[in-house]
Parts: sequence; structure tokens; C-alpha cells
Amino acid sequence: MPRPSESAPLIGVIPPYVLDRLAQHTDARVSMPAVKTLIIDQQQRSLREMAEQPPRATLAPTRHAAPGGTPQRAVHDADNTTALPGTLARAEGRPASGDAAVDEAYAHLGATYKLFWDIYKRHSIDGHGLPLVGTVHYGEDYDNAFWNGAQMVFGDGDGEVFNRFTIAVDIIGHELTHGVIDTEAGLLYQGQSGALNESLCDVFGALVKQYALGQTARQADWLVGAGLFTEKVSARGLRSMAEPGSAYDDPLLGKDPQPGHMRDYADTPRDNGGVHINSGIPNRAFFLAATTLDGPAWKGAGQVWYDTLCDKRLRHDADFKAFAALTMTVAAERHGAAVQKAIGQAWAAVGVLS
Amino acid sequence: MIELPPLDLVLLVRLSREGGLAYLPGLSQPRSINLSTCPPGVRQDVCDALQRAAPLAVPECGQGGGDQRYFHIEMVMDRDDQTAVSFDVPETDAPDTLVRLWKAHAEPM
Repeated sequence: MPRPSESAPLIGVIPPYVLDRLAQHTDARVSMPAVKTLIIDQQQRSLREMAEQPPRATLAPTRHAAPGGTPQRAVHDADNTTALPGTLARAEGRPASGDAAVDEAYAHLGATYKLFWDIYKRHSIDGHGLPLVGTVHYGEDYDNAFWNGAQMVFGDGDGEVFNRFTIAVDIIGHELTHGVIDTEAGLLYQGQSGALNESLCDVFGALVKQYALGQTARQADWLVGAGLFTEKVSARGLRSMAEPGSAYDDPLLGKDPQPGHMRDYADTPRDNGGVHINSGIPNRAFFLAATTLDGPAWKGAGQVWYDTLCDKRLRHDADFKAFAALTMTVAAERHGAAVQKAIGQAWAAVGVLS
Repeated sequence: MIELPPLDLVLLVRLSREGGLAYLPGLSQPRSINLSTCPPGVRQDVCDALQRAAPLAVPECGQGGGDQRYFHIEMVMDRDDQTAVSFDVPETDAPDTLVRLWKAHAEPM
């Protein structure tokens, strides 16, 4: 079915027999749109059939992989075009370039690699030393960062609402974690599995930042993308893991729509079924577990979340309850009663488990 | 790609941009352009954008994940908003005419 819109019923929600009847209507003003709709519906069905397998990242085979413990970074400059990867601006081991975006990307890719290697013994995104490729200065005033299945891409922001997207280490951690998820559970980017996908990226992005700063769970700010907004807008960050829904409230941005409890779950067709909205619920569960256990969040709760992400029992279409139940199982199997109890209380506090 | 309906049957075009690193309600408001009342120059711009975007239509665009953005285009063909045709185009492939439409028709919340 085509993605439904909140504002208009689309062809997929009009039963085909109704379209058939409209198409046979004697008034061409009525019949013509229905005929065209049927044609296009058939075309869309063909397109969907061609795309039966959910798209997964295809990571290029690693050639000349660096030994474990050593990242292999390459930061490129798109020179404000959209051509990828652009011109190589800083390769692994090269000195600082003097370009803030290039050097931030290089440093933050290193910080992300370091967390995954030092704590989880993961050798890059794929576990086999995949080079970490990033492109900065993408597009003109481009206000986004993304993982395209093979590399990270960072815009400069517009300078009005957004600063450059390399400024926040947790954002680079977030984007790299999309690559890790693609090579592990492959969580579908829709609805609750999509919100889990987003939440896991926020979790490991936060852990990259906390590990780099040497912060305990209770010392951390638990903001996603702090520093990303300019001072012209009233915003602390993109999201708050501690208090979902409180990151911004601004005339231009609107109000942070994230819920922190299942009773406020947003049932919406926008944002792929609210993947960046409902991620507030598992985000808050992680925050609660980590701060209850205290100490470094990358141990305890972080280790359980990582083990769960890599566990073969985690399905690609897992919902919140299935993920939560698996964290409890993993905690019981490998991490002891205190960790399991804290995680169980956290999931209960956000209404996912009772 | 997708074949467009005859554009003289399209009453309203609704353009939304989905995906991205965050869902920011104020920056995600769909743009609506009423083709029956807009100036001829705007209508021409919209038709050009649709004709350049249609060959780039991709199914299940949102499943790409990884915070990639895409444009969702709806063409409404009756006054009751009951019959619409829609398609998605990845932002990375979007023609500049479509991007310009998105920027030019931003409305305050």
C-alpha cells in the first residue's frame, strides 16, 4: 500500500472496486482520474514487487582492513555539491587539515570507533575493519546528516537554525550506529522496529559522547545533538533521552513531539510511523536503567543493549515489547540479577513491560 | 519511475519532506499548492517539477533508513480530496525544481 497521509486518503485506501466503478462513470471528469489512479496503482504495485526484499545496506568488501584496534578513516569534502564521496580531505594518520568540519568528522569517527572497539571489541561497523568514510560540506546550507548504506554524509547547516552537523560527536556516533544495525539485526525502518532502530542510534551516540568525556550515567546531559542548533532558536538539542518531549519549544521548530511513555505513543503516518518520535520511549527506558545502575552507562545497561542488538534472536521487525523482553533475557543470561532488575523497572516505568 | 496523470486534472499538489535526523514539526509542514488558483508561473513551476521528478520515483523510499530524506508528492484530483496519486523521490536524486518548490512554499506554523 502507498504510505498513507494524515491529510488525504490515498489510492491505497480506496477499495479497487470503488475505483473500478468510478472508472466506468459516464462523466469523464469522474472516470478519468479513477482510470489514471488504477493505472498508477498498478505501476506502484509493480514497483513494490520489485522491491520485495527490504533494502539493506550493501557494504563494500573490506580490502586492506586495518588490524583490530585501529580505525581506517577517510574524510572527504563535497565542496558544497552533492557528489559523493567528493575529494579526499584527510586520510587515516594525516595531520589536521585546518577545516573544522573535516577535523571534527575525523575526530568523532575516531571516538565512535574507540567506544565500539574498547568496550564491545567490535572492529568498525561490520566487525571486520570496514573503513569509516565520511563526506562533509555536502550541498548548500544542507541541514541534515545521514548514513546512505556505505558512508556518512554531513551538511554545513544553514547557519540560521542549524550549525554544521559535524559539531556533535553523538550525531556521528548515531549515524555510524545505523551501519552497525544494518549489519546486525537490520531493524526495519518503520513503526516500532524503526523507532528501536533510531533509539539504538541515540543510545550508542550518547555512549560515544559519555565515553569520550569520561562521564558517568548521572553526570551526562542525555541530550541528542547538543550544539547543533544556533542560538537563534530555543532548543537544547534534537531530543532528550532523560525527558523526551522537552528538547525544544520554539516558534520556528514547533514543540518536541517525543513521548516518554507508551500511553502517549504517537500513532502517525508521518516520519515512517514516528520513528524519530516514539524512539523517546525506549530512549527513556535506557536512561532510567543506566542512571539506576549508575557508573559508566557503556557498561551495565550499554553492554546489555549491545548484546541484544547483536543477538540472533532479535528479529528485524521487533516491537518495543519484544526488544524489552530480549534485554531481560540477555541480562539474566550474562549480566546478573541487579542489572536485570534495573532494566525491568525501566521498561515498566515507560509502560512497555508490566 | 511513474507515469503522471494528465496534469490538467490535478487540482492540488501536496509536497512533504520525510526522514532526516529528527522530526521537527515546524520544519516538516507539508506545502500545498492549489493549481486551480495559483498564478500561471507557479503552475508551470509545479508541472515542471512533477515531470522531472516522476522518472525518479522509488518505491518504499522511507525504508532506506539511516536518516536519509525523501520527498513525498501527492496529486489530488477531485474537490473532496478523495482521489490522489502519490509517489516518493529520494532527496539525493530530487531535481532542483522540486527542492526549490519545497523552499519557496514554506509557510509559518
